[in-house]
Formats: sequence, C-alpha cells, structure tokens
Amino acid sequence: MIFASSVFLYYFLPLFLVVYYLSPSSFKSYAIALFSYVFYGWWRPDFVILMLVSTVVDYSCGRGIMRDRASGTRGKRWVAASAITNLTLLGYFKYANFGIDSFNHIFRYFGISPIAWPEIVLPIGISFYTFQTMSYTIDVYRGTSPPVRNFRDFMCYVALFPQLIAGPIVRYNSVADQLHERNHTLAKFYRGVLFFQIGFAKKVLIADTIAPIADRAFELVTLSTLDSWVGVFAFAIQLFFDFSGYSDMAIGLGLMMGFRFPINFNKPYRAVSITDIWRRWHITLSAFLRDYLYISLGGNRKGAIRIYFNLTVTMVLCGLWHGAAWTYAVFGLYHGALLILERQLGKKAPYARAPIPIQILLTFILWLFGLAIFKCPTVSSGFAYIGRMLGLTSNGLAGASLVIRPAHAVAGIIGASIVWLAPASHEMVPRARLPVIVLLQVLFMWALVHLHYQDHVPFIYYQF
Amino acid sequence: MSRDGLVRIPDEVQGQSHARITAIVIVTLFLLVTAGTGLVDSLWPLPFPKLMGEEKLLDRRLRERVRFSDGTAARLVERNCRLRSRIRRLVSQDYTFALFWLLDEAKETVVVGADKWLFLTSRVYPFSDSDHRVAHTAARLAALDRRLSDSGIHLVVAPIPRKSVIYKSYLPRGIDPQPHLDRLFLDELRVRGVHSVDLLTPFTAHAAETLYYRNGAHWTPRAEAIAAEAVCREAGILIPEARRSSEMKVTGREPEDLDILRFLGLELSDTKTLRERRFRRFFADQTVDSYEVFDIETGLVADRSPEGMKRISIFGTSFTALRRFPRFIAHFAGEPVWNRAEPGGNIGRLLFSVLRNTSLVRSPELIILEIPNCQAVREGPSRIAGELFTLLQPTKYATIVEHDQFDLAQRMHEPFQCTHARRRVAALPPGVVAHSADGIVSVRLAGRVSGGTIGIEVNSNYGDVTVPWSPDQSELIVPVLGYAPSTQTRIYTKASESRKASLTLQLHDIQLVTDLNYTTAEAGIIGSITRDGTRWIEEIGFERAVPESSFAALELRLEARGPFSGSVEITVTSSDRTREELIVPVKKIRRRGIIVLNLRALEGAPLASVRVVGGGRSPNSVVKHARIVEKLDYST
Repeated sequence: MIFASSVFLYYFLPLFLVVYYLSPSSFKSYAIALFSYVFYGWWRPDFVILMLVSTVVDYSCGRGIMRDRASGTRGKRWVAASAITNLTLLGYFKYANFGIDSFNHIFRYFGISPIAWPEIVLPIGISFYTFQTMSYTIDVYRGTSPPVRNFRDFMCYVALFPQLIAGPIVRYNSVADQLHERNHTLAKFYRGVLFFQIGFAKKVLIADTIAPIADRAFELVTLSTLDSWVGVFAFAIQLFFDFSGYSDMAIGLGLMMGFRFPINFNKPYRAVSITDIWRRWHITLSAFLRDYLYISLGGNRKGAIRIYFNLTVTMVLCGLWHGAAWTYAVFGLYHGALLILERQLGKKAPYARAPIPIQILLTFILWLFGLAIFKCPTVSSGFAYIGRMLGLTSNGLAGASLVIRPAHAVAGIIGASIVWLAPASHEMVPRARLPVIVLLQVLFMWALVHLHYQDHVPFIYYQF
Repeated sequence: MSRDGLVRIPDEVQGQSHARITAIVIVTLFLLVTAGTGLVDSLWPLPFPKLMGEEKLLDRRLRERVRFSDGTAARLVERNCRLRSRIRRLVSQDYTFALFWLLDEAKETVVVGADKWLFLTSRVYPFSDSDHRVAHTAARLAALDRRLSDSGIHLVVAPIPRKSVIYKSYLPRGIDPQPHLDRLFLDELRVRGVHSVDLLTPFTAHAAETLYYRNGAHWTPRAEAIAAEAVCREAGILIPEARRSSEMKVTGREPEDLDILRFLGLELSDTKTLRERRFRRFFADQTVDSYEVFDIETGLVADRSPEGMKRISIFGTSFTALRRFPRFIAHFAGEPVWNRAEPGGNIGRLLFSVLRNTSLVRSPELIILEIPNCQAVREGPSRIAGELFTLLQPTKYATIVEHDQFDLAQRMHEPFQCTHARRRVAALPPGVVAHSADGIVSVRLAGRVSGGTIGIEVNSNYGDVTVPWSPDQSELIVPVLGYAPSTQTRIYTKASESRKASLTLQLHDIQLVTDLNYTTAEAGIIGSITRDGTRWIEEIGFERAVPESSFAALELRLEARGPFSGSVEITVTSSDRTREELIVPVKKIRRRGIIVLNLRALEGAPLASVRVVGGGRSPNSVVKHARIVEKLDYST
C-alpha cells in the first residue's frame, strides 16, 4: 500500500487511527503490528513471512546476546547469525538476479551457455527493514541499547508501517524508549497532520507532476544538450520531493501515533560540498553506513590510504544499497571519489573559496552528474547521457525533444523555489503560523483532488 | 531537529491563544476529509462503469488472473474502489476540465496537441522495437493467408493509418510518432505477398477533409467512405457507379465522436447533469460531414448468426463495429457484407470463433481484415491468436527435415512432463534449414497429449507463435514465424497458468514440413561461380520458370565445396519489371543446409534469375539442387 493512494488515505488510515486510539496502552503495539502487516501484505501477502523471519531471527539473536553476556561472553555468534541471515535474505532477493545476469554476461562473451534462472521478485522495502533489524542486534551487542522487553514491541518496531518501506531508517536505539512508553498529545497529532500534509503535497503536486519530464528525457536517445540538463534537473526535483515527501509523511504518521522519528532531509540542495550533501540527504542512511560500516572498517583512524579505501567501500555499498545494478555501484564510486577529493584538497578545493551561492551551484551540478548515472538503466547509457549534458550530441544545443507543458514548468519553478528558498519541513511545522497553515490546507485539498485525477504513481524509493 | 536527530515537537500546542483551536480544527478537518470520503464511497458507491474496447479486455484479463498471494486481488480491490468512488467522480471531473481548458493539461494516457486536438498516448508512441513487431505481425498474417487459402478463403488486410501520423502537424513539438512504421507495415505485408490495402496514400491526400475526430480516437464517416472504396478496389469487388443500387451522399453535419474524453477523465454518459451539459457545450462546436447510404440495410450492426454469413465478411475492431464502414463496403461492392467486428476485439480470436463454428452455413469467400496500425505497431503479434493455426491445419504437406535431425529433450514415445514454466521439447540445430519465417515452413508434431490442453510454442529466434494442442488431436502443424529469415527452430511446451493437473506429451514424430507440392517441382540449372569485385556469384536459371500458383517457393539445397562462410544473399528477379527484386539475406547456413524462400510476393510472375551471392574467398560450388515448388490445389 502506498500513502498517496485512495485505499490508504480513505480506508486504512482512518480505520487504523480509530482502532489505535480505542486500544488500551498495552495493545497499541499489537494494533500497530497488525495494521503494519496488512499494510505490507497489501502489496504481496506472501512476503510478510519474510519480514516475520527477519523479526524472529533478530529478536532471538538479541535474547541470545543477553544470555551470553550473563554467562560472561560477548555474544558475537549471535551478531554473526543475525548478519548472515539478514544479508542472505537481502543478497538472495535483491542481488541474486544482478549477480546471475552479470555472470551470464561474461559467459555469453566467452561462448559459454548462460545459467537458466527464474527472475526473483524484489520484496519492497527489504533494504530498509533488514537494516533496521540488523541495527537492533548490533546495538544490543555493542551495548548502546538495551534489548527489547518483549516480542510485541519488537514486532511493532520492525513492522512500523509509516517508515517500513521507504524510510527514514529508524535505528533501534532511537525509538527503544518510545516503543515502551510514548505520550499521545493533541500537539503531536496536529503537527503530525501538518507533516503528513506537507509530504503529501510534495509528492502529488510537485514530484508526480514533474516526473514525466524526467522519465521522457531518460527514455530518449536523441536529446539536445539543453533538454538533457532539463531532464536531469527535473529528476533531481522529482527525487527530492518524492523521497522527502515520503519521509515527511512517515514522520507525520509517526507523530500521530506518538513516535518521534529521525529527520531524513535537511535542505540537501543547499549543501556547499558533496561531503555536506551526504550530511543532509537521506541522513538516516548516511548515519547508518557511517556507524555500522565506515567506523567498523576503521573510519578515520588508520591513515590516509585506509580512509580513502573505507570511503570508497562505504560509498560503493551505499550505491548498491539503492539497487542491484552496476549504475548504482558507479554512482557510489563517483561519490566516493568526490568525497576523497574533497578530503584531500580540503580548503584548496576549487569551490571552497568561492562565494556560498557558487559553492551550492557547483555542488548541485556535481550531484546532477551522479543522478544521470543513477537514473539510467545501464552504465553506458549513463555515460552517454552525461555526454549529452556536455554537448556531445548530434541534436544540438537546444533541439526540441522534450514536451514541457505549463504544469511541468510551474511545478519545476515552485519546486526549485522551495528547494532553495523555503525552510525544511522540520523547521516549518513547529513554527507554522495561521496563514501558512491555511495555505497548507489548500495545498492538501488540491493534492487530494489531484490524486483522484491522476493514475497511481508509486514512490521512487519503494524499489530500493 | 534535536540532538538525537529526531524531530522535535513540543508536547503542548504553544503560542497564540487561538493555536489550540487551530489545532483542533485542522485535526478534525483532516479526519473528516479522509474518513468521510471512505464512508461516502463505501456506503454510496457508484455503479461499476461500463467498460469498452481494450479497457474491457484488460479488465477481463485482470479478473482472470487475480490471486490473493501475489497481491493482484488487492490491486483489483483498489481499482474497484477507484472506479466506484462517488467523491472522485464529484471532484475530479471539474478539475480535469479546468486543467484541460486552462493549461492544456491531460493525464498520461492522452496527448493534447495544437487546437486542443487529442491523441491517445498509446497510439502515438511506438515501442523501440516496433519495426520488428510490425514485421512479425506481417509474418503471422502471411501464414494465416496460406492457411486460409487452403480453405478457399481470400484474405485482404486493411491496415488503418494512425491519427497521429495523418495529423502529425497537430502533435506537440518534440513528439515523434515514427510515421515510417505505417508505411513499413504495408511494405512488410507486400513483401510477404499478403493482399493489403494502402490507405496511407489516400488518407494523406485527403487529410484536409477531417478524417479523424479532433477529440475522438476513431475515423470520421468521410474516412470510412474513402477506406471502403479503396478496400473494394484492391479486393477487386468494386462495381461501377451505374450498377450500384444504393446512393451515398452527405446528409448534413453530425457531432464529433468524443471518446478520448473518457481517457481524459471526463464522463459524458449522463447528459442530465449540469456539469456534463456544460462539457458537451464546450465540445459542441465540433461537427463533421455526415454520410449515409440508402437502400442497403446491412452491415451496420454486427451479424453474428452463422446463417447470416455472406460471400464477403469483415473482421475488425471499433473502426468497423457499430460504424458505417461495412455498410459503405456493401455499397461499393453492391452486395451485403457479413460484419463480425468488436470494439477492442482480438481479430485472431474473432476469426477463430467464426471459422470453428460447425453450424456455419457457408464459409466466406473473401475476408476483409481491418487492423488499426496502432495495434500492429505496439502490440503486434499477440493480436493474432495461435488457436487459428490449430484450427486451420494444412490439408497436405511435404517433409523437408526428418525427426532424426532434431535434438530431443526426451526420447520419442516417452512421456514429457509439461509445467507452468516453459520447457524445451525439441530443437533443430542452427543452420540446417533457413527460411522466410512467414509460414512457408512449419513444424509437424505427431503424438498424444494427456491431462488437458497444452501450449506449444515454436520459436524461430526472431519471433514465436504459441498454439494449443488438445488431447483429441494426434497431429499439429505449427508455422515457424519471425520478423526476419531464420535458421533456428525450437519447440517448447507450457501448461496454462490455471492448470493444476499433470500434463504429458508423448511425441511420436517431429518433422519440418512445407505445405508445397514437391511432385510438381521445377528444377533449376545451376551455373558456375563467378566473381564481381569482392563478391562471388552463383547464378541459377530455369527453363520454365512460371509458377502456376501464387503460393510458390524457391528451394535451394546446398552442398558447398571449398571456402564457405555460411552467409549468403539470395536475389530473385522477376521478368515483370514492375516488381522489385526479392533480396533475402541468409546467415549461418550450413554447407549442406536447405534454403526455402517464399515467392508469394511475385504472385505467380515468372522468374528472370536467381543469384546466390557471398563475400570473401570464392567456393567451388554452393547450390546442389534448385527448384520452384508450388502450392497447388491438392484436390485436383
């Protein structure tokens, strides 16, 4: 089920809120778990089993660690068991097709018959909930969080539907206390509604409206230089409003149930460097990779070469986390290289001494080059697209390949204004004055009408 | 953001005095809108809308395949909620109209062009492999043509040009409907000898006369009249004006067909509501010439009774069903026409349902097949059902390759288990036979199927066809089809998805056959190899190279001596100078391979020469035997 759908908005959410608020405190977690399974199973009922397996395994591992710790050992085997189980599930469902395809490509090159392999369906959100369950076991092992008190709370944590399939990645230690005890106030619910309305309007009015431009630009082989820039800019706007819109809705829904979730976006396109952008874009993923991968690899502690190696590995895996394709690996590698370069040059970086607006512009342009590879189906088509952006196209500087209708232009301009001028949702909601609130209601109603009008458009990050 | 990275929200509503009231109002409004919509749509849903054409087919397909486990049931529930939502109907109509009126904005399914001309997106954008799809559809029609001719039925195909091609100038800047595809389809049909009607040329010439509705997906009565005359002329049934018992004339103006508006999101079914009257007023200024035919009362309504079958029948889609096109054909042909067209109909299935009808009083002598090019360009071969080939089995055949040359997955006579997954039964090693892949060569399977009907897929590497094989059939002859000449043949089985029982196939024989008559073959005289620059040429002559039938083929049996790359080009020249040379590239043929080329495109015209051309070092000789083989009337 997706948030921007009639079934969720008009049936699931009201019913859930009624059941949730009528349930006694001890049953609230059950209500969340039950509705979350329905929410997830709506897409593929059979894959709920997969999530349950992950839940049971990590719950058992957490218990195992505590038992081992009581008997004087650290419980490393339980962390290993959790990592093996989760990474095996993730590897099979997310990366098996990619691996076999890559091998078959090599086999065909050498004239060897390819491996016959039935296509595996990727369970939506597997990267999110697998990371979350693993974070629990690791946090318990490291002693940064206490183990969950009962299975009910853990079920609720893993399945928590607002952030289940497209983030933000909620680490166990962020919500451990809230799972057990949280307060439900009008203020929270009200702010939750505002967050949800902002996210919904972002998704439906901006991201979905501008999406056809991005999709069309990346479909076309014959594209002028100007059109290719318009296409990748449209994709940058679409991606930000789609994903940050989802995160806002998730935070809003969390608040309606009394949870405080982590902020996932903090004006990323106003970053002054690539290092800065990764502190502002998908913050929960960056933090997860920093704490559980980069630092585990040695972080900044083992000399320059090792730092660069750690950065490269972390960013390539960050790229591959988004999807099983070489384009994502190259996207990660590109960002890894930029991070190394920025680290090496420090204040000598060409844009470090430029005025802030120029730094923002240059960072955004570097980001767009990365997105061109991110969006294309193959690495070669990604490089071909970058070639078109750099003028290596027979279609001239400003050929007419893209059909830009007034609605696209309006969505693009408003989107760009919000990106570079407006405060972030988490800054706006707590301080919202009446005119802003009224405007938000108008936008929300408009978005609801637009949802009735448009056909189903899934969130981009569902596929990750 | 707080220090822990979590969103920071005060526990109480603070600030101005009205802040708490604002919070209560906003929360109440939010709950009212969400829960209220759900309640209204649950308690007072709209009746399920009447679906038409392809929507109806898609809906049927969706309901047939619905399952709980894979989430399709949930999708169906969502879809039903959406289609029956009263609130949606209430709010989205005006919104849609406002977007269209003010911003030329439409859903993804519709392209809004200049002067608010509307085009269905699916009929504007071809697929990236549309060239192949078009050729594959043409190959299927060529195979169907062969099989129908065996039953004494003459096939005439009438491809309808796309609106986006005829009125390309109205499309927004940057949209390319690839107009060459409409011409390509005609060329692909012609090169395979399928009798087809060129509507593209007259439509382009008469484009100024409004041949398609501005806000409709279909053609106007004027276009129908032009098409009907062209079809009758091409089919040889056009009678002189003096002999026509009916009269066709313009009777006035009629409102436009507004069927694309539904895709835009505007429902104009109910003229009583104020809103719909307003919408209609907006589109009311658009009218077209109304044509009518008098005195022949036939053809307008589809006649599905077998008793009603006439000499001429027409099969097609919404371009024919409930339109004047069949009536106009009857007018130009001077005789009644049996109309079996359905909106969004799968032409193959329609033909199948008629031809298998044993209570049919008579078979049609001429079948006019109306195919919108948007189908040929996008959906291609799937539209011509494989069941037809099961039904229309050739009456006689001659063997080209025996079973011992096939690689079998299981030994002959042993049961072969058929599953939901596609399983390979047999394959002919590459390069044994090269052919036109348009039904000139078929796979003959003899055996027994038990447990139910199985699907047999014959794949040529450049395309495939799937036909059903039921337990009551002991033999099946399936054409090998593709968009290009092929040297590959693979045979697969697949059980239908709904099938639970065990299905087995016991193969008794497998051959590659042709429906041509080898006993009357005309042998060729093979010349010696000559060189022309970098190429070598082997010329073949015929003493009496006049095929008696329009269904003829050239068979070359190779026995290459000396250097031979396996890639050759066959050029067939007709003595009729008006006909283009038939040039067929053949790749990866074996030294002792067989080449079978369809000469149907020559329509019985005499051959001037056949040349086998290759590159690289010259072989000593390539062709061992050459002959023209024909499909004659076996009953004589």
